[in-house]
Amino acid sequence: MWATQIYFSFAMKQMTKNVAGVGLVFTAMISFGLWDLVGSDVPEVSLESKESKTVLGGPVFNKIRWFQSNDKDIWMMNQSHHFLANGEVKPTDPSLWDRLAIVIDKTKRPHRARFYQLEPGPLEWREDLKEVPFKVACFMCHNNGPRAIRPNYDSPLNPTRFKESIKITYWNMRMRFYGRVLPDQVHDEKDPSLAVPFRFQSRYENEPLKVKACSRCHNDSEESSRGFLSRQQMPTIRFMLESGQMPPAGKSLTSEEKQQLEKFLAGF
Amino acid sequence: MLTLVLLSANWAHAGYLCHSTPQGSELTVQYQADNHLGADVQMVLQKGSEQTVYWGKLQSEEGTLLEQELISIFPYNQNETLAITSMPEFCGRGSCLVSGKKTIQANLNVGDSNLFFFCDETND
Repeated sequence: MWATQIYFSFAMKQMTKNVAGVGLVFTAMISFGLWDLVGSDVPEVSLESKESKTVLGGPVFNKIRWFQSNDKDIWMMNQSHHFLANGEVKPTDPSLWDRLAIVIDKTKRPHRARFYQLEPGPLEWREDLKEVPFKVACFMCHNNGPRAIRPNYDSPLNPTRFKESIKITYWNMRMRFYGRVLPDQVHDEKDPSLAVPFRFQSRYENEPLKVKACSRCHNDSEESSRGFLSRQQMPTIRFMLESGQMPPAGKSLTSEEKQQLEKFLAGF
Repeated sequence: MLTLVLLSANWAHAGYLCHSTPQGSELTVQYQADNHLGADVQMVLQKGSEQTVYWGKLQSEEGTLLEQELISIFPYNQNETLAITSMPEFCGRGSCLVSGKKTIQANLNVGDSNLFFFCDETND
């Protein structure tokens, strides 16, 4: 078990950095007979998000579950916003957990993603779940469908268990293999009437990031690409850079590209 | 004297006060309260005791989340512009308040020179 954990931890770290790591993770799963832990319809995983913070600086906790059918992948998430910066918890009320879903239509190429903010409730999918208004514009963080799950592995409040980390790694690989994912057309149709839209529509907010090192992967031209990043994703771009997750391991920015990126993040 | 009073009233609304820390320079951008497209803008750039006054026209690209005001400086030249952007303070995934506190930055391009500022909105 020790060897499994050590190898797997190494493989997971590599996977977040480069494609070769995906091979290491597959090898680990096959070698150690871990496939049965990662299938669909398995119980949710529970984690503290590495990226998210509440507006008061408190931790954000996620419970995530994945379902699949022949033509759809369904990612559901409960997300907490009721923890304070000092770790204290406001009185727990089930309704304080948002319920969100991203449904991937696998019948289309590129795949299409439909985003839902649902009435609070359990991570159980039905087509008739009641939608409620978006609390935040999904596209600010999700320019290409669901994003890799990044737990805070050092969380004292919700440490990620080994079995969960295996599931998360497999799920992240699954998302990676979607390639380009476009928002479902329904979001463009609905946005004009929404107080909080799916995506912000002004020209400025949709200006693409065209720094060469970034747009090698974040472009719209290939089915395997990740879609151009735009100005409205600046908070997410900044987090990925500051936390050292971008550029990926083995890649770097030239000094000119750093300047271009800084200028873009400053709004110019 | 009457003219001066009228001018003063005309520019009673200030837009931004911007500071460029490394250079120690200061930029005051004033525009009429009605900052519609094409409104006249006055900019005063203070570097030590040296003061430069610019005039310009305002273009506004207003989004819901991010906003940009672009001021073309006259005499018109394609490279002589002041861009002021406002954006939300850093926020986490799924926890970003659109109406949250904004940061405002400015970039003044005059010819080959480029000055970057941090700004505060002013109401005086």
